Amino acid sequence: MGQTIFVVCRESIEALLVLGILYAWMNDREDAQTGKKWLFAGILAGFGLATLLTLTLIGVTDILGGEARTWFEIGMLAFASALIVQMVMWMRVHGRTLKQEIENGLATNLAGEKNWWGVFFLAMIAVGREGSETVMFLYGSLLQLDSFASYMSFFMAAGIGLALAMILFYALQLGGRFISWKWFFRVTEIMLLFLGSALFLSASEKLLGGPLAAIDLPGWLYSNVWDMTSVLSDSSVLGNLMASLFAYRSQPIGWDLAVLSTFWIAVIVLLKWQSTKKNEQLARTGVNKN
Amino acid sequence: MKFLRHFFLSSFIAVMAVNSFASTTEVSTSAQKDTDGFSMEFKDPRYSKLKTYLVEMKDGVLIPAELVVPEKTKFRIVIRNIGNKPAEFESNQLRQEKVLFMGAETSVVIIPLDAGTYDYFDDFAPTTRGKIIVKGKE
Repeated sequence: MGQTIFVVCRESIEALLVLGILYAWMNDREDAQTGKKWLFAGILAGFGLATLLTLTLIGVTDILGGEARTWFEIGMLAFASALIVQMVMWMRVHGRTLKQEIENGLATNLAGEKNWWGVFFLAMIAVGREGSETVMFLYGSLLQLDSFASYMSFFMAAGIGLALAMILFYALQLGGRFISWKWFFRVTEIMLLFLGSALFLSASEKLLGGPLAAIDLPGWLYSNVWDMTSVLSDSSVLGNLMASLFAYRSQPIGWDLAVLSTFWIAVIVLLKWQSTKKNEQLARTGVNKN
Repeated sequence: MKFLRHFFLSSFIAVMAVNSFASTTEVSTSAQKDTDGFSMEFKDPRYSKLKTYLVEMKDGVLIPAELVVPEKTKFRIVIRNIGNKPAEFESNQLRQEKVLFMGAETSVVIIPLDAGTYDYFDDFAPTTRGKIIVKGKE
């Protein structure tokens, strides 16, 4: 029973944290209502994805063989990471002008819709990834049950695990209310970018351990650069959470650092380029008006 | 949301009723050590290119719970779930995460490691920790 509570709670929390960041990020926005619908649809689609992934895991269907599954995971993670960066960039332009646009009746639904697909896919991937493990664990445990009492305690445990995760989720949302929105938006934006880097890093590590395993890369890519396991091991609960949300590694190898610096340099260059472009546009429209 | 969960669970039961698993009977060779103190390799014709070790997972128990492997050498771990519950082979230090249903087998390739100790565990029952000791040839 304790094991079921533990697994359900932990896996749900990981998915709920991602959903929580997305939710907080778009909360208080003019078009948050639409966004929440997309978020909810994404969660539902995530359950579908979880089912599909579980079916491949328990060997019912072979749509995805071992190799194809790895590529699918890599693709999914890289896609999610790119989506996050794209969403943050879109909001930087749109977020500031959105209120004005709506007031001027200039809000283009089309552009909005395009962005919500990002929310939809991210929610779907978050639920699908964590969900498939939970569903398989629950299903496997369910097969071992033999008495009415064991069924009762099983469903109770699953319920308690989910409830605990929900309570933590609400605590997080409440926490957001005591902080000024502008600050919270900044923080969620940075958290989203960190989440993007974590997804990008795990995609690259799957690439390293999977398709790239047959190739011998230079030794420094495999060597530990530093070791802070004694400070915070990424096998601990906190370290693990930090790993999935912020790309924390207690023993990073050369590959990790190369991948992470590529990600952050790309993000900084993109954001810089975006703001110079915007400034130029502003300058130009300013000149035209005068 | 609860309804969906139940719906998915019951549809699995329906599909799984017609599904059966092959069981494995070999003994885990990697639990033994050779004269130099390294774990014995697991001989499998499918994986002849790399040094291969076998780890079996049985309801939270890891067999063996200790592997001794040479440093800076790429190797493979064949993982089998021989228990009655699903298992998840996980190691953040080794950057691995594989979910195994009952009776399932998979293999992971571990990149060349520096000398040191690395852990692995069943993420569905993380009470017991296995460790991989990486050391030099001499």
